[in-house]
Amino acid sequence: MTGQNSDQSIIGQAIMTHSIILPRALCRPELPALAAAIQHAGSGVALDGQAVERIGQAGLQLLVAACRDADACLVQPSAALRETLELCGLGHLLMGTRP
Amino acid sequence: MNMEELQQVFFLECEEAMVQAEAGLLALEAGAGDAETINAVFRAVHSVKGGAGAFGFGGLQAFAHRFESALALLREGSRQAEPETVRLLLVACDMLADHVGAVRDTRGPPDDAELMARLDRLVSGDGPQVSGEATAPGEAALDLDALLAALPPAASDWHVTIAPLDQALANGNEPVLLIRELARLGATITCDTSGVPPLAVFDATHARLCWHATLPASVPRAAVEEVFEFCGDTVRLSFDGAVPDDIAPAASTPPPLPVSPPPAPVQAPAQPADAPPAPPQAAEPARAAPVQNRAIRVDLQKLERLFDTVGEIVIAQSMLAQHLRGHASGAGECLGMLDALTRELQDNVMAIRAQPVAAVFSRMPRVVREVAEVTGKAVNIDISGDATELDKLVVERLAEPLTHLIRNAVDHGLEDPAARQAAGKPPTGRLQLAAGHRNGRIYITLADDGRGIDRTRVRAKAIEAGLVSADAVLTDEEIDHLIFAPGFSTAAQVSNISGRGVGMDVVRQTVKELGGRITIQSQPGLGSVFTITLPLTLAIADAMVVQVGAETLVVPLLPIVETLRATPAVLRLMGKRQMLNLRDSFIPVVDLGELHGTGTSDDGVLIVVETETAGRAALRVDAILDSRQVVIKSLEHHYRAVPSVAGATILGDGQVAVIVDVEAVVAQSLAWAKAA
Repeated sequence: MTGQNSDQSIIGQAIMTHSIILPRALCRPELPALAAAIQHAGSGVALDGQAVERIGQAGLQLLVAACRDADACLVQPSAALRETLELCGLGHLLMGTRP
Repeated sequence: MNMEELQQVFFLECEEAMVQAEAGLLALEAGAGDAETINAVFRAVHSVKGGAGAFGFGGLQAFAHRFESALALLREGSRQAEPETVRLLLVACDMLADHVGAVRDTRGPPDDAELMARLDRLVSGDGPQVSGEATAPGEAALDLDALLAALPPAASDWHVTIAPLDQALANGNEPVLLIRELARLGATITCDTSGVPPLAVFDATHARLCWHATLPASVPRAAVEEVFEFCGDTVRLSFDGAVPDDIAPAASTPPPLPVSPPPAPVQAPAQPADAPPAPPQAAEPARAAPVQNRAIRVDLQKLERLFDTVGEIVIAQSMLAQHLRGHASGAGECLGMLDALTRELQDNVMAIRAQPVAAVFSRMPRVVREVAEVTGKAVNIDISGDATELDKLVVERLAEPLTHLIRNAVDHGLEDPAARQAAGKPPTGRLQLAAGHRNGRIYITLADDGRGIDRTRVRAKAIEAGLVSADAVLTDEEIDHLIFAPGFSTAAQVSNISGRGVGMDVVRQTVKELGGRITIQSQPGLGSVFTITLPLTLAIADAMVVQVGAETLVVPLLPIVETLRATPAVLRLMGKRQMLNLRDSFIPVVDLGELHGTGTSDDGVLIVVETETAGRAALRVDAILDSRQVVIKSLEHHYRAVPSVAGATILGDGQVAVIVDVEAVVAQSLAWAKAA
């Protein structure tokens, strides 16, 4: 849950590159902190989805709000995240994503 | 469900579709149809075609397609429902039934070449530019596409809205998993995100997404409800617009999902749950859908087992009554209640097995059309009382005798148009087929306004065929009944319709096997009325329990006319035969004791019965013990058929008693007397 990336800091915190690594399970307990982190990071934050294995409705709501209100952008969505978003009729959140 | 079971469901649906199609075409023929009537016929034929394609019944599918193409002309308004066109479509409807029957019974396909050509000519408008090419596969495919595009909404996709409530997130009923299941059913999902609040007030405990799923018509509502079966009140489902019928048992339907709207989302511009996207007019069909699902299909064997059990209860109840008689003074009231409840239970179970006679009546217009065409007569048939219900097995077996009666009525009863006009009648003959329920029995009548039975001719033919002696004195009724004699026919020529003298014999035999009777009232020049009287069920009958020597026998109540004491004043010996003087009419006495070799006492009881073959007779027994319902057990199933015995039953004391076959007993006794 606390995976790290070489050029990025702890999940849920904004880093210099304005990128946030999304947790493996995008579920309720993680979300309030993540929402605060996205808001703190400001507009245009990149949400790195490569670690995401599970995502529930609350997580989807967060991504919707983040993309809409913080102009966030999904990057490197995992197959699970991509499949869930497409399945749930939220494929438009993937538009503009970077592989 | 395996493939065979699916096919059985398909055949049932075909039957329903064909009844609907024929009813619509008949309405058009009568000038009572409108655009929706044509649409209904089109839908019915289309559903047969669709199923046939799914099961690979190529011949059926091809014919249904051609039929559908012809119907499309009416639907598009490029051709009017002229009598000639509707008649052709009715013939096509009959052929469709033949095709369905062929695949169901794994017979070879019927010869539809000529009819296909006639349909083609109709479709091509007799124009040379299309004729001959109408059957080309490419043409057919194009035509099919056009028809599919024009399909009514009932056969198209349908929609359901899924609005998870907050409890779904709190209880761990993750809605995404449910959406995934819907996708597996073939749903196309769109998401309404308008309820999601701004990021600044994000709250992970509130469900704010709402999904709309579009499902193929082939997915039943129950399949969707099953997905949400265990969600309780955490998800709000609303079915929008027309939802496909569902044949799943009502018992498996999940508990109703909550109808209360979810809490309003924070600062949401639109509230998905409060403002479902379905238009207001779509709400009504969505609410009506569960009503359509109240009918279930049940394996007939299960019903038969239930019916057998009820039969056993009837027996047990009568045994209990017998045991308690005279022993427990306070038991009378309880027994009365038990008796009433048993009868109610029996009535309810019978009602489950009951089927409207419409199932068989609806096939009769086709019979009329076919015979009318062959004989060149113009005939109308009026059907009434087709909602009258009868035991399913009886309804199924009625088809054959009714077919013979109708063929006979058109071929022999009705005159040709010229003769009718000469007799001052309208050129079109009229048949009236009716059913009704009276005194616990079912009456089915077929009346024609034809020439009536020519008794002189019938009598002459019967003498010629050796069925009666030349000097026999016969009443009008007896002469009329000669037409039911095996091998009897007045037809000069054997044709496809009649002349072999088989049909009417079959009528009487089948009606008899159904525990019923048939009577004729015929007036020369005015027509004939055939009346079939049937018991409500074959399994339980009202009967008299009688004593003959040491034996207890059961006589069905249906043929009994009256009973009277056998006093010397009413009995007269004529030759070797004892006769009953019943209000100056002499009827033969059949001594059941003599037939059973037990002998009868002098002061017995006479039971006057009406038989089909031998008219009235009086059965002589020692005493009448009881009048009650008896459960009929077939001897053929448990032992073998025994002449003069219609079956057996178990009496209240556990004793097995045989049920007298009144018809056979009287006929046999009189035959012996004649031989002696």
